[in-house]
Amino acid sequence: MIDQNQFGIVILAIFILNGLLLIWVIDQMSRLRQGHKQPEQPAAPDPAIIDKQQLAETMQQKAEAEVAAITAKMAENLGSFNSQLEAVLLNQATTTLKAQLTQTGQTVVDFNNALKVTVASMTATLMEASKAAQSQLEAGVVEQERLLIGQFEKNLASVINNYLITALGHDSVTTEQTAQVIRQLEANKDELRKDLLHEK
Amino acid sequence: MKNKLPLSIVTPADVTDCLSDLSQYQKSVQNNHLVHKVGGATKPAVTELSQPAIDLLGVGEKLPTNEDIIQAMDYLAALHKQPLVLHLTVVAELPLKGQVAIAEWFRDSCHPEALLSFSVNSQIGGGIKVRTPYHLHDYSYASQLEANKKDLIKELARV
Repeated sequence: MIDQNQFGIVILAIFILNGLLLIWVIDQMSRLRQGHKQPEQPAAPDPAIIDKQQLAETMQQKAEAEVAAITAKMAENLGSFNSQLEAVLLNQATTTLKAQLTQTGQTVVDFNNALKVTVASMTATLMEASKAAQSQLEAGVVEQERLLIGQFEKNLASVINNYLITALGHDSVTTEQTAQVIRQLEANKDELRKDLLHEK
Repeated sequence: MKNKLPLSIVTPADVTDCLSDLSQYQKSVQNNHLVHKVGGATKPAVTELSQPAIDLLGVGEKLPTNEDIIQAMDYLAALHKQPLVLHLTVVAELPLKGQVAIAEWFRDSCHPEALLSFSVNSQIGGGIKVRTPYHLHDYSYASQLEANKKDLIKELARV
C-alpha cells in the first residue's frame, strides 16, 4: 500500500513529465516555424528555389501535420492518462478511505470492547464493594443487636425490680413486709437452721 | 435458774444496754444495802429496771436476788462476748413489732440465742437477705428475678 508521501511524489513526477513534454512540443513547433520563416528573396524566383520552396512548404505541411497528429495523439494520451490517473487517484483514495474507515471502525470496536471491559471491571468492583459494605453493615447490625439484647438481658431483672418498686411503692411492700419475710424464712427454714446449728 | 433470752432483746445493742442496766441496778442494790446497814430505809424499786432486764430476770411479785442479777449478767456477758448475730437486709424499715416477730421465728426455728441486726436497702425489691457468720442467704426479689431471668426472657420472647 502506498502512503500519502509516496502518492504525492508520484503526482509531482507526473506533473513534471507533463511539463517537460509540453515544453518539448512547444520547442518543436517553434523550430518548425523558424524553419518556415525564410528571408525574403529577390523578385526573380529561381525554379530551383521554387522547387525548394514547394518542398519546404510540403515538408512544413507534413511536419505540421505530423506535429498535429503527435499533439493530438499526446493530447489523447494525456486525456487517457488523466482518466487513468483520476481512476488511480480515486481508487487510491477509496482504498485509503476504506482502510481508514476500517481502521477507525476497528478502533471504535476496540474502544468499545475496552470500555465494556472497564465497565464490567468497575461494575464488578462496585458490586464487590457493595457486598463488602453490606456484609459489614449486617455484621454491625447483628453486633449492635447482640449488644442491646445482652445489655437488656443483663439489666432486665434490675429494670423490673426498679419498676416494681416505683410502680408499687414502699407502702404496699412494708404493709405486708413482716409476713412476707417470715414466709420466705419459713420456706428456707431447713437451710437456715442447718447453717446456724451445724456451724455454731 | 436458767436464763432465756427474751424477745425484748433483739439486737446486740439491746444486750449491751441490758447488761449496763443490770450493772447499774446491781450497784443500786449494793448501795441500798449499805444505806440500810447504816440506818436508811430506802429500797430500790423493781421499776427502775428496763423491760428487757425485767423480762430476762423473770421478775414477778418477787424482787430478784443478787444471785439472779449476777447470773443474768454472766449470761449476757457470755452472749456479748460470743454473740450469734444475723444481719438482715430488708426493703424498708421494719416496725419494732415486726423485728420482734422475726426474732421470735429465728429463736424458735433455728437458734434460741440469735441476735438480729437490721439494715434497709430498697434495691432488693422485697424479701430478705440473711447474712450469718458463715453464709449469705439471699431471698430478695432482686436475686430471685436475676435467678429466673432466663424464664423471664422466654416469657418476653413469647410475647
